[in-house]
Amino acid sequence: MDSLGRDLRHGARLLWKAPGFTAVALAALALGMGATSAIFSVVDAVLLRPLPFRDPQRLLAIWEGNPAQNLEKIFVAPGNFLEWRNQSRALESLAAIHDVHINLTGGPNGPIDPEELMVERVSASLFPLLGVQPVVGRAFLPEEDQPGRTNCALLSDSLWQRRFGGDRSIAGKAIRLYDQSYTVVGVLPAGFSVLDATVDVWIPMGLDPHDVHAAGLRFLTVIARLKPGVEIGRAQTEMDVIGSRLEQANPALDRGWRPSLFPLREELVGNVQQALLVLLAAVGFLLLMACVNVANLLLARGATRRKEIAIRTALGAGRGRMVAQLLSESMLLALTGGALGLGLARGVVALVARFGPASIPRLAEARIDARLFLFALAVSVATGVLFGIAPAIESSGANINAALREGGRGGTTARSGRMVRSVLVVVEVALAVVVLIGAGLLIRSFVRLRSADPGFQPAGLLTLRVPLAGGRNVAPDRRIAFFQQVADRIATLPGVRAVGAVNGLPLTGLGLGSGFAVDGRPAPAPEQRPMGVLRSVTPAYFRVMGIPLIAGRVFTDSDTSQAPPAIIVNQTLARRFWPAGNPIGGRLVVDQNKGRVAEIVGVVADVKPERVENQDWPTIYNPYAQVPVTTMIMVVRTAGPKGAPPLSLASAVEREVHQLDPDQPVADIRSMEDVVDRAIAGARFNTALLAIFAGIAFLLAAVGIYGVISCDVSERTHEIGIRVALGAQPGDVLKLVLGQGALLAGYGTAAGMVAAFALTRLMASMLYGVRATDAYTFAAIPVLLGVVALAASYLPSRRALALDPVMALREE
Amino acid sequence: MITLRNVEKFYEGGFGRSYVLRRINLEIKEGEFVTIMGPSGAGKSTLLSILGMLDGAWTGEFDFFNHQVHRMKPRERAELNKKYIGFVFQSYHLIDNLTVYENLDIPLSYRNVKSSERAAAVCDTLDRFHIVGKRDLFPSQLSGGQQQLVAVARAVIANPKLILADEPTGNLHSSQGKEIMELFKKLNDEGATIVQVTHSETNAAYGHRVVQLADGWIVGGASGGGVKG
Repeated sequence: MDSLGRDLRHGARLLWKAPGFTAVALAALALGMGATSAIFSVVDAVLLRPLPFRDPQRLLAIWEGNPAQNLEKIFVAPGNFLEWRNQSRALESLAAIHDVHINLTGGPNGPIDPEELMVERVSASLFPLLGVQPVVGRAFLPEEDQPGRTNCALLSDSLWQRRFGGDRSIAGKAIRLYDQSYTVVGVLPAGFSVLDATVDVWIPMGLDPHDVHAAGLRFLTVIARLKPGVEIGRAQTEMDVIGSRLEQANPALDRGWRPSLFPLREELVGNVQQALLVLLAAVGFLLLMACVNVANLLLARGATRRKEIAIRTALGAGRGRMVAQLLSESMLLALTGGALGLGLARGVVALVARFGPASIPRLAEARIDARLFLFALAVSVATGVLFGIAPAIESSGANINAALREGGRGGTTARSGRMVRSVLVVVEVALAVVVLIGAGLLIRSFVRLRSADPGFQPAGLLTLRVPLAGGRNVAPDRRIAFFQQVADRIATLPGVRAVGAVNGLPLTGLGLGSGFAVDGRPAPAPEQRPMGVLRSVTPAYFRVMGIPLIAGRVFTDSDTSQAPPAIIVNQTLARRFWPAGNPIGGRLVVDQNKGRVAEIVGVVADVKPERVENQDWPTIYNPYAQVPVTTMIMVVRTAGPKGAPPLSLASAVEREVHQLDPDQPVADIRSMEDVVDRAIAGARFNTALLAIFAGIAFLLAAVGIYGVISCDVSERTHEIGIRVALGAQPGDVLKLVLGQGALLAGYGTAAGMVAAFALTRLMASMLYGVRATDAYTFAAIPVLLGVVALAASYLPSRRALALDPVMALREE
Repeated sequence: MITLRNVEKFYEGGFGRSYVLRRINLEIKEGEFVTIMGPSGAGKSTLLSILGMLDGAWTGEFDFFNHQVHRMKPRERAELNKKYIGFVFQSYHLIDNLTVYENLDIPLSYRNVKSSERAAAVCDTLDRFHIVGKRDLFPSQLSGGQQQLVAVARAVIANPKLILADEPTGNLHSSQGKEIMELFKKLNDEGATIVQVTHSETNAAYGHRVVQLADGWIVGGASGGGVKG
């Protein structure tokens, strides 16, 4: 115990006296362990930790698909859902979910400030299916999931706290949603969510099996639970049989459509799985790099301490004693690095959980997991132990007398040590190249994504959602007038140029879609009926958004409900159905518009409905006056990019809406640039993380090369002295030292490029407009690393240049 | 060839200057074989380093082949070293991780000699010193005598006018030492000027004259009486 204390004290003193070595080693360890633990924790929260439901491995998501139309994972028609529930024997239970926005207008004590809420209409079976119990009150009863009896609600913990002060007696009290009274039956646990973490209220769905109109639409998400012992494959087989029965029974709805089953976890994290695994791999590489760095530093340090170890051995220290001393030093280093890494990891996880994109599910649940941190710590400690005690083991087999005579100078043993260190640096540079090329590709991809034309001009646009549902303007005849008045009022505000409205902004999702057909052409079979995105817009919309008109005209105030039905289509639709001709004057039958036949009066440029990187969809625009939906998003063109930021008009705009109707909620007031930013937030997050990793990789690679070259110069002091005595000029010495660094970087870069060529293919689906083998990135990274390698070698080479050959030769 | 006037070398210490060499006045003619002797700490190796342009921190005047070394910048001195001087050290100072062939190649590589000419010169030298069979061995695979033989070969490969040898036989047994000294004698006979530092009277007898140093002062043999025929 006494000797352990002495060893630790001695170790601490030595580390303190070598601040450069200690700082670099601690930084490498902290960065390696911190980044690894943080990202492991995020991956664990999102991908690995079981869903917070009972027996989560038995939970499924069921979608409908139509292979003939190349449609997969489409929402489910209510009629089919009810039939599946009736007919399936392999599934224990099924539940449907449909999300809607509903305005909250009253609490238990009367009217409250209106707020638009995200609401999920759900089957009563959902909560027992998931195994989730409310913390207050109860879940829905089966009889509450019947048409006409659905006026009861479950609240999220956050809404309960935020709007109702966490009132534990809320169960049984009434709130107002729409313009109807709902009885709160309970409050769900904090953090509970199924598909969307922002949902505040759940209400029973109350599907009516006799509702012919609803039965033909596909809008449900279906969650199911397998019976114990039943495999997903068997359930799929059974559902295929049920699907074909339904096809025969109702060909108009189901010809070509089949249910497909997927594990729920896959559905929830599928989109981000690859990105997280790429980040995990990058972080794993960083940990390896950090360990290689520490190993190298320890080996280099060991080489300089051979004389000390030889003296200690000559004075009687056994191998065990020497190992114990070096071990205590290594442990001290690894544990201190671990403590710093833990602090770093906690900070990174907190930042990621707070600022990570909302599109990554369960990110907010990320916490540092002790097991994960201990894993990283164990790897680092193992590295420290392995390479820290190497000098002791090496010295036991070496000629002590030779070591004593040689001092710190390299002999044959040092040459082999130098080889090991060089190989380690080559490995480290190779790892850095892989991380850097991965990051380079993502950065190039992100730049492309950022500069991709979304089809409209987002700068200077303010957007706000105005949901009429439940309000006094919801009646169809009042909607048109209300939005017209709102637009007129906002247009008079200083700094506003023009005002339009649409029921679904670009880059926020496909929204409402519909099958359609070209009037006058042979009607396609139902399963081959094309699908298009459907929008209702006011006449000023295209001008406000800066969406170019390609042909024909935009809507005017004369496109009223009494006027002949008019539509505008986008270029994708025009090209597909009029590849050679002019679509103006053509007519479309749009299913969603109750089969209304409308004439194409204009063609506008494509805008991206969902994601910048996704394909364009055929899009049909209706004049709002002819298809007046209840929720519209106002788009306000402000004075322009040089004027005040659009959000500075937010309160004035909101005030204008409230002057028309004080109870009308206004939600999601955002600039259009913010909307665009959110659409690429996931890509930005991945890019930012990988860019940070790339920075760390650069740093670690530079430190690694510096460490080896610096140590090399120390060991070759004598050799450099001889070379100078034999006529070497400063340039020759510089070439010798820099050449060594360049050689290591060269080998490492070559190996790394081969590895990157193989590995970056795995990230192909994360890239936009850049190939996984992008020549520019593959060419730029080696150049950058070469510069870093030369810079890292330059400092030691200056030391070599400053050597006094006489002193160097005397070091004998 | 070499004239030193009032050359002094000292270190500044806590108690004033500590002199290593004092008022050295020395003349060495071309073709001479001069031996510097003296007790340990007399300044022999320091004097040799100054003559070899390895040490620039001294005062006084140093003329070398009509070049005023004391006025030269380090780079120019290094050029003189490269052009005229070959070094032989007591502990050989071969580079451990280079073969015999590669060690011989080093001085030529620093003199911008074409690689084909370098190869020819190295092969000639290997032949001349009868070490062709050792060309691919590393220094650690050679005996002390063989290592010093390679070191001498390396010192002369670029045909230096001046060979400086610091206790060249210090680590060798007598028969190896004799062999090396015979070699120096031969080189001197072929025209090279040689300055050696040694403790050995026997080795000193190979030279034309002995310069005696004590406590940094020259106490005998400062100027030569010409070259023995």
